[in-house]
Amino acid sequence: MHELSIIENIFKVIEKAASENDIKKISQVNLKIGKLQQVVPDLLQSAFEVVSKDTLANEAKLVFEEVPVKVKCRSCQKEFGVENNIFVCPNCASGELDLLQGKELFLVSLEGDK
Amino acid sequence: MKIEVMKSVLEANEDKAKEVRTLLKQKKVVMLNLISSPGSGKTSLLERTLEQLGNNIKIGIIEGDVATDKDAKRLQKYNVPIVMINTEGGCHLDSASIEKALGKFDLVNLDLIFVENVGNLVCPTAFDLGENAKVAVVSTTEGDDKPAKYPMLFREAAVALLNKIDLVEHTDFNKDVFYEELTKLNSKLPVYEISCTKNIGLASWLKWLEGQIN
Repeated sequence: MHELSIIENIFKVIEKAASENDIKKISQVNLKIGKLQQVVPDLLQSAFEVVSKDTLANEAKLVFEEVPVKVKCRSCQKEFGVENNIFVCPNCASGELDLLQGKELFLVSLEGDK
Repeated sequence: MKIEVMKSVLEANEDKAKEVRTLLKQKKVVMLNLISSPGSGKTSLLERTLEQLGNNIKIGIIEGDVATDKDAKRLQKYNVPIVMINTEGGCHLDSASIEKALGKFDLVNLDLIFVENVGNLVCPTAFDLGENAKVAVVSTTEGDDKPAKYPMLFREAAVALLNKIDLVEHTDFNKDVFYEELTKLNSKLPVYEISCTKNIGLASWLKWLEGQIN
């Protein structure tokens, strides 16, 4: 369900970008998805197949890069990657962290023909 | 040919959320987005909150429901304005539907709007509604693994409520596990243990609410 609504939203951005650039056929869609979004790759792929069916991306390949979670400590400024959802600074043990990456849901680029 | 887009997939939703936030700020209305699984007690929480805050603070409710108006009906007796959003199967609310709902309120005469999101812990977290804060509601009967399974909600929430605390001894809910996971995720998150049916622990929640409004 989550994956389907993400893909439906992706298509709004895809259609806009394609029409602005006069693209008639899309061959590849490149996404960047943060790990915190908890997207299941197989579900994303099947949602893409369903939604793309009657669009200019019906034969397009979906490629996505998962972005690891990275934060910066507010107390000691250390930047570090978050593993196993442990949001605690390994340097000073503070829990006050700013998220640098890991929440992305980005359409990076489209490949296609005019 | 390749076209660089680099746009957020949720751009349309995020833009609309910004507009909602600006509107609410202008009208001096605080909006809270209640996120929980089905059955964790969002509607009961609203019932107790309306009973206890109803006279001092002018409250409006936006009810998100997948298919029915059952929750909205439960809240009718409190005589507060309620706008219903039926998502027709959709698993979350979005900022466009909130903007429409806000148009049905007399915002000048409101201090606080509760949005009861669709019961789901994943999608509602990803869709910004333009709220001031997200409130995570979990209950002891759902198990102690919610923070571990849904980290993003507990990172984004401004407060978490652990409901049905009166039932904890009848469940296998392990408070140590729950708090340990939560501390790893977000050590600054205030958590209030409450029971909406037994009226336990609600004072701290109401105090937190008053702090949001002032």
